[in-house]
Amino acid sequence: MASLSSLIADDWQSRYRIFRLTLYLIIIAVTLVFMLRVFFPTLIQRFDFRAPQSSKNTILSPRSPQNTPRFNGKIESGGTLVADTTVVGDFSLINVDAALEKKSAVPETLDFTLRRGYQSFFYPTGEKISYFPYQESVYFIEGTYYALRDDILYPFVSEEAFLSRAPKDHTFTAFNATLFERYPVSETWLGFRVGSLLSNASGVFVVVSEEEVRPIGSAEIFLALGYNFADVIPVSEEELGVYKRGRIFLLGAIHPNGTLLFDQDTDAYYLIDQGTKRPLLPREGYYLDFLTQERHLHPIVVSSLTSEQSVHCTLTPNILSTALSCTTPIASLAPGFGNDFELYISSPQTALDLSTLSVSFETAKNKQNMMTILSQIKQRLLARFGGV
Amino acid sequence: MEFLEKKFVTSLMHWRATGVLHVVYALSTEALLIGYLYFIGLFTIETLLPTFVTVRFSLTKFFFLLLLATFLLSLLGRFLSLSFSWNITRKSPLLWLGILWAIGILTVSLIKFPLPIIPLLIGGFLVVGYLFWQIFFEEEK
Repeated sequence: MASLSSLIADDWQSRYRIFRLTLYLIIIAVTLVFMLRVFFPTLIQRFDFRAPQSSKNTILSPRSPQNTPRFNGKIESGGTLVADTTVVGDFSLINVDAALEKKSAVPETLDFTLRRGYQSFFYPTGEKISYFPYQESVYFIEGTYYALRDDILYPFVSEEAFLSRAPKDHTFTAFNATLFERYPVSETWLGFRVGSLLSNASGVFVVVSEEEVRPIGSAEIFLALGYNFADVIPVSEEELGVYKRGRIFLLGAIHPNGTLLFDQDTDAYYLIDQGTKRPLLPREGYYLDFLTQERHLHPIVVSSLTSEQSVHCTLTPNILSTALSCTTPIASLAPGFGNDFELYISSPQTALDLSTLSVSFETAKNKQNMMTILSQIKQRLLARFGGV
Repeated sequence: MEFLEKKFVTSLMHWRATGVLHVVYALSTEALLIGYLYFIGLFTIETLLPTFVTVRFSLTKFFFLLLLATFLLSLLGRFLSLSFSWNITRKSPLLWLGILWAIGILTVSLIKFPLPIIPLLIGGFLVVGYLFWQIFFEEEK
């Protein structure tokens, strides 16, 4: 840059050198900030109440504690807004920002509460399962298993599909060809137990109902949901073909029915069923033993103590009273037992109308997070250039 | 309005006479050059790891800002009667660095393309490069 300094008059040379040094310091500072943002990103989750159906909304299902949708952003006096968002990582700080509609009253404060876990584990506890839930009569005829439902025989697509639901001795194994004369055979094939994980060349799928499987978006999402690769059943195209393929399973998806959870703090097992988590007791009804010992299923490990932990902060209005915000550390909401964050905003005294809600998660600046990012970079490089 | 324009022009003339604008020009040129180097670096990372940069930082906006700054700086240079000639010859190390970088980027970009299409893409790339070279450097001669 000798040619540039030659442009400067002699009486400006010393000041030019200082300015140049300052410029370089600014560039170094910008570079450091950028690198910090790369290694320790701040993840901003958002909901726009003016566009509640937008695919850009990363805060999901705004609702009342009674599960009434609150997509319009209105919170009555004394009311609470509950919503969920999913972010993977170890975070140190959150910043909450609730922007108000122009005509909204401005509350003096809002209470904000956040807890972390799996959305399915936040379900209310349902009735315990003390019986073996698979009660159908099953017949093994000419190499195929059939379930008798409403006087119709439904064939299983494979032996493995039947065995995912019940042990082999569950069947009336005697060959009985007269059954075909007594009952018609359905053209609908039965697949695997709802909640099973299946895989073939096109990816990994989770069975969400008798008719539908959903592809899991990526290995990261699979792991973030707490699943174990050992539980994935390799299936043929024919076995997978009995299902219609639903939309992709992404971060923020809730475990489907049939998912087994294990609370490491209370040694309790739960089975997800119709929006509840139902306790499963060992030796009672045999179902837990079947899932864990015969099927060798790895339950998703949860922690009731961690899930009960929450952080609180009080949102206060900004100078223009257009939004309320607060910042609070969330290091106590440790990762490991779910990446779903359930947030509560309560307005104790004022009815208000929100336009947007955003929650920024600041990644903790520690060695582990940096190693995670470096490992992701390495994995992506290997995946891109054919190393894996 | 006219008064403001006059005031602005008078100030510019004064800053030019005192040498302030020369300092601004020199510092801005250096910052712009570093900006372009950063852009090349970020573009290279983006090519190696698609979306790694763009999810955090808009390369399009950055490039637009660089172009805008280049335009403003060339206006300032004209006002100060300053110009730099491009001394890029076939022996210039800068040229060879650029060529090596372009080959690297091309290789990474084409790695998953079917073999018969690669020569076509490289041919097209070279023709476009040659035409730009003609426009920017050969026409000046």
